[in-house]
Amino acid sequence: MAVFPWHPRSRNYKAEFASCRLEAVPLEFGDYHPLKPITVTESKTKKVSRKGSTSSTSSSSSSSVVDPLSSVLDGTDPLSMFAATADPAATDSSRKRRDRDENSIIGSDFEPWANKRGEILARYTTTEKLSINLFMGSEKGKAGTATSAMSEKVRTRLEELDDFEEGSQKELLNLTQQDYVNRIEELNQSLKDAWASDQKVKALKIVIQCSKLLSDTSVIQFYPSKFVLITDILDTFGKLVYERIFSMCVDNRSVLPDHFSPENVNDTAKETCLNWFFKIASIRELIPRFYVEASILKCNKFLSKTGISECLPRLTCMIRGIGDPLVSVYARAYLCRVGMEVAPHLKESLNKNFFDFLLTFKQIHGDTVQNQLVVQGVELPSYLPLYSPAMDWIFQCISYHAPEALLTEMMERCKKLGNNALLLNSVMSAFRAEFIATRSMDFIGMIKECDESGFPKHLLFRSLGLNLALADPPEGDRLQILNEAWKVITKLKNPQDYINCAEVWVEYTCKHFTKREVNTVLADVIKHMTPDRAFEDSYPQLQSIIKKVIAHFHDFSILFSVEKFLPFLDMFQKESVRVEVCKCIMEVFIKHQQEPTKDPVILNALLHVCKTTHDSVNALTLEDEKRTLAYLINGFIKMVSFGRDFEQQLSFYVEARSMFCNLEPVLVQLIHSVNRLAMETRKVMKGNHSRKTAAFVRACVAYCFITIPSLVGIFTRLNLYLHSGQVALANQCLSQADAFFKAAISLIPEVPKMINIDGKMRPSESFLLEFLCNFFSTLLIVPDHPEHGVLFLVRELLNVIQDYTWEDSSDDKIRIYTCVLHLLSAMSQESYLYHVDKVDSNDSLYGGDSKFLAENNKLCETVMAQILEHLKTLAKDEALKRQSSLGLSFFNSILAHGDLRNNRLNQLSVNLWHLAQRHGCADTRTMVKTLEYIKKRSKQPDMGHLTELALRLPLQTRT
Amino acid sequence: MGTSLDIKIKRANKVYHAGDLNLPPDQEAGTGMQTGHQHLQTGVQEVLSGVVVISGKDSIQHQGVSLTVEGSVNLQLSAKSVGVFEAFYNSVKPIQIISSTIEMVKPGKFPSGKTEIPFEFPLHVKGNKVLYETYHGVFVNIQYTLRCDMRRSLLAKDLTKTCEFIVHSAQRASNFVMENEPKFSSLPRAGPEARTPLGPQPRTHSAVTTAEPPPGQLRPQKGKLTPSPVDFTITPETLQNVKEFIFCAAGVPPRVILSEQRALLPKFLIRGHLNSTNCVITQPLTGELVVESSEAAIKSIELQLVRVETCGCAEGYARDATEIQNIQIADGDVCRSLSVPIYMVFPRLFTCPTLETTNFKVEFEVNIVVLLHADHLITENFPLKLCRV
Repeated sequence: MAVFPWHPRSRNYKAEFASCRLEAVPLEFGDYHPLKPITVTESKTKKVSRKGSTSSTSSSSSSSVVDPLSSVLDGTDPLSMFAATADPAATDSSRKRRDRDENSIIGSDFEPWANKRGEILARYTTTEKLSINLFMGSEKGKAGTATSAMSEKVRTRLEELDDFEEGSQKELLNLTQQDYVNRIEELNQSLKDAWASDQKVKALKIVIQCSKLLSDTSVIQFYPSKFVLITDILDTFGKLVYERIFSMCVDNRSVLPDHFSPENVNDTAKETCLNWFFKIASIRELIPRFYVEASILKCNKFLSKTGISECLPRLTCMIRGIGDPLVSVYARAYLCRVGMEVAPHLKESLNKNFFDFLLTFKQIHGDTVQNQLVVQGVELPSYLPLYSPAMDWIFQCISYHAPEALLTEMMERCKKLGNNALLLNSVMSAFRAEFIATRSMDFIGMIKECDESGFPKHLLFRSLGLNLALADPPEGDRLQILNEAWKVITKLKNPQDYINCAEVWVEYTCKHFTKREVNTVLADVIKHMTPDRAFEDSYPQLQSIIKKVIAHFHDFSILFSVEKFLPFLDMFQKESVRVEVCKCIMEVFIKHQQEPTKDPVILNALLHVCKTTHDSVNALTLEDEKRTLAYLINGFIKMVSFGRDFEQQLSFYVEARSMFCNLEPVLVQLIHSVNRLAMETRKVMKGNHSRKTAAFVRACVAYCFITIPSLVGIFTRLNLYLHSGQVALANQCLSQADAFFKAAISLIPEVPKMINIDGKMRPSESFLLEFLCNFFSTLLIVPDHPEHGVLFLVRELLNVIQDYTWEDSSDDKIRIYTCVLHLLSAMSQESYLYHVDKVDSNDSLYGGDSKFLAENNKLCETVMAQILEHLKTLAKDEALKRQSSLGLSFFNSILAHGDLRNNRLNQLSVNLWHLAQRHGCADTRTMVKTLEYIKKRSKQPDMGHLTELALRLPLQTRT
Repeated sequence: MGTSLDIKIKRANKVYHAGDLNLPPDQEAGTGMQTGHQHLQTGVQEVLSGVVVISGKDSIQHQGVSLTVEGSVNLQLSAKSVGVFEAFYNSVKPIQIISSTIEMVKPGKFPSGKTEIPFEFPLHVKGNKVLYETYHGVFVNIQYTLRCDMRRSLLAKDLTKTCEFIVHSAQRASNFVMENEPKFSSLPRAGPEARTPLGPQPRTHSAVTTAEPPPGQLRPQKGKLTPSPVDFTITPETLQNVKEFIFCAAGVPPRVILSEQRALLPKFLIRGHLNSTNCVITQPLTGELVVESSEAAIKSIELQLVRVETCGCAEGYARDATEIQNIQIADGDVCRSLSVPIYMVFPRLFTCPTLETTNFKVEFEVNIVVLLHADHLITENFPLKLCRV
């Protein structure tokens, strides 16, 4: 094969740059410019016309471009447009009025029951065995005693109501709480199934039996949760009945509007509705009758306008018949809940419920309840909190948008009753926080007066604290409130009670006081929680204390000067918790620290915190976790700055490296930081290093050089070598730069075929190609070492590329060779494209020496030979396409970098052109474009020879 | 096959009004609960109307379709009153109130698919008979049915469909007593009564008296509803009938000792009142009850609605009281001196306005039953008069 010599085209980079440059055109104000911010001014927003024609909203914009997002959404969005046209009957005004009405009654600020549900279920649990007695089968046995005189017929009729499945009595004993919950869920499901399969009577039976469970107060600790579960079933039932009757009112002509009046309801629907009420009125037992009737309260709307307003007071009175105070307060809560849902404007019955409840309040201390507690082995302090969810709910319903006077009256009435702690607590949890906060001192007084034996006091203080966290008490009282409250809190013996209380009050303290008070509080917590390692049981609370403190103290220099803060951290002795806490601190630091810092207190403390998180990394740590930790630590490292004291900065990085050696991203960050430091130094010295700074820069470079090998990721290392080499070069550390590049070159053979990227194995060649191209452009300016041969780095690199085992089916090696060709062409220029300040590159070292150029050309020939060799091997069928595209790219390279006045090179390029087209694999459009380009170039000065070339390049027609 | 016969009555609630309806329009009352009233038109005979629906895939050959309206009072003597043997013979014949048949369709053929034949029946009775209100009891049953028969050839079975409809008396109905003074003087237990029967003793009040014939002539009463509130107080002292029950081994009848045990009873004071013992059947029974004090814990307070049915027969008459429903108004140890509402809806079909005829009577009573934790049972009885306004 003939060896083609390479003749690089000589370039005048400056002239080329100037000719390529776009002409700068001054921009007039108001002219279009793509980077100018788009300001859209909506001229008017038009209502959609009734007829549903897509109204066009004229939006004019000051710029000629309309923001695509706003243009899509101009006018009304398609959904609301649809809604507007779909319902022509409802006039806009009536709808608006309705919306307003509803809003005025219940707004989004009313905390819905759904929120409370989960909380109650989580809080009121039991380990005792539960039982579900679903059928009063025993009643059959008793029938003779209690209810005799019934005729057989009547009895069967009643039993039908009682019995769930014919003659089956289900008593499930010894259920765990989870089993119980599952059972109830099954019942809920079978209710839906029964309803769906049109077994309405069965559905009613299920509901009656379920509500019967609410009269059972055995395992009393579980009662609140039971209430939640069973009222879910009742809600389902109520909804089913309502929807069924509603659907009966809908004949094929018209749909009943949401706010219908009873006259619009047809007879069949009314009769069905009436039937339900008659059936429910005949339920024997009080509690099921109450609950089931309450659950379908909404259905009264079908019968009469005043139905609900008559029913609510009656149901309220009916609750008086429930003897057990706990059962009755929950019944009231349910009624309030249904009432708020169906008829929120009927406030009177809510109030009536409350006052009735106060009347029966004394029952809690009656004999019946006391005996029951003794039997169940429940203490009063754990019994009373069972009332809280129901009372809180009732109070919340009443106090919602209630006038101040009513609240005051309620408070007064609560005050009058003996042992009002329970009431007080509900008042505090349900009333508006502002209301409570302004009366904080009164409340503290009342709490103090409470009877110690009943409701636990720490819960009261907790509730008060929660309010104070939300609303601010009067300025003057603040300190006194804290003192009074803390005086009581600090006396709590039980660490659990103490910490639950303290956790809440920390927020108040942080909000209104300085670090001194916070310090005192923290010290007190430490004092209470240290004995017997009590902190071990209350990590969540301690954690929340820390969170609250750091949420309020954004200035970390103040935070860490709180003496007890770090000792407080020491209480987190369980590793996982400690790491969690440290992470929180780091997050807050990253979020709120604006300025870089060199405060030794912050540095020390945060280094300690970071070290803790870092040390938690082990072989089992997940990748994600590591990433998060690294992100946090990096955030910290970036925030550390000693200003002009570069040496201290470097020594900080040295220290950090020793501390965080397990997290690769942190090491990478450190290397970047050190490189940055070196460049900063250069900037400060304006490129002229003194002896001292030169030594410092070398120290930086050395830091990088010894740190990089400890990394794992191969491309990370390669890129860092290259990057650090560039930094070294920029700082005139030539031999160090050489060392970096050599290290990079010697690392290349180690690049594996496949690398793991985001958990997937990917071939590495494309990454290598990218890296090498980058590397070549750096090599252009690296001056040769006087003791090594000409272009020793390039040669070495070529050897490595030669020896690297490339994928058979890829042309990457050739692509690299093409790039090498570009590099070599650039190197043979008289003056290089770019330079590093204060570093003499080969152009000035050799000064266009012919020997250097000859060496250079020899290298080119070898590379070209390699390329042509490879092109030959691609002559097989399946590789023709590759051959064509590779040939074209080589052609382009010659066109760009070769001197085509040379005949042989000219001939080669013509051959390559033919090769590219030979098997019809070439893309005609590309070929046409290329040819056009050549013709255009030929018109430039000194390019006349290209005209001739263009004539020799035929275009293959596809015919 | 798939041939089916169905009757659809026009009114959803199937309620029709009996009697001569010569009322001024303003008296027409539609109470909240009874929607049927709104169909009532003054001076117009109530007409039972609807359609008979015949449907089948193929055409249906038949020998004629007829429609029958029947209404009757069925009386039964309880075994307790007159003995098993006699009860079995059922010596009381049913009293027919109304019975008429019309031929709807002559023998022929129905086309395939659905055929609807509308019908109308004026509800009127012959002679001096009265359409009593529908009532489903134990010993007395007043029932109205509409029956449709389709006779068919020998090869196919005759088809029959029966459908019950409900008769309510019109405003000025003639069949119930509405006077202030009860006409109960002749009956054995008229006044309020309290006692403490305990244990498995049946709570039936059965009595047979041969001494007096059943109250005689049916007298249409023109009384108007006057509220008759009743206040009551129950204490151990007011109890009439104190019994102490001693539990015995199974099978041995309990020994009931009438004794001077009143002193041993736990002390209690229960006050209350019923808003009226003259009740409108469509309105609930209402009142209040206050447990002022009670030594023993209260287990439950219930309202027991009792029907008292009296049947006349050759040997005399039988009077039986049976429970209709039992409604709990208090569960558990209720709060002292807090009034508990008394509230009971009268069940439909199982109650009717108080009825007194030559052959039978249907009356109602309510018992307020207080169960104490020591298994004491205190009952207070109130006769009621129900009417329809």
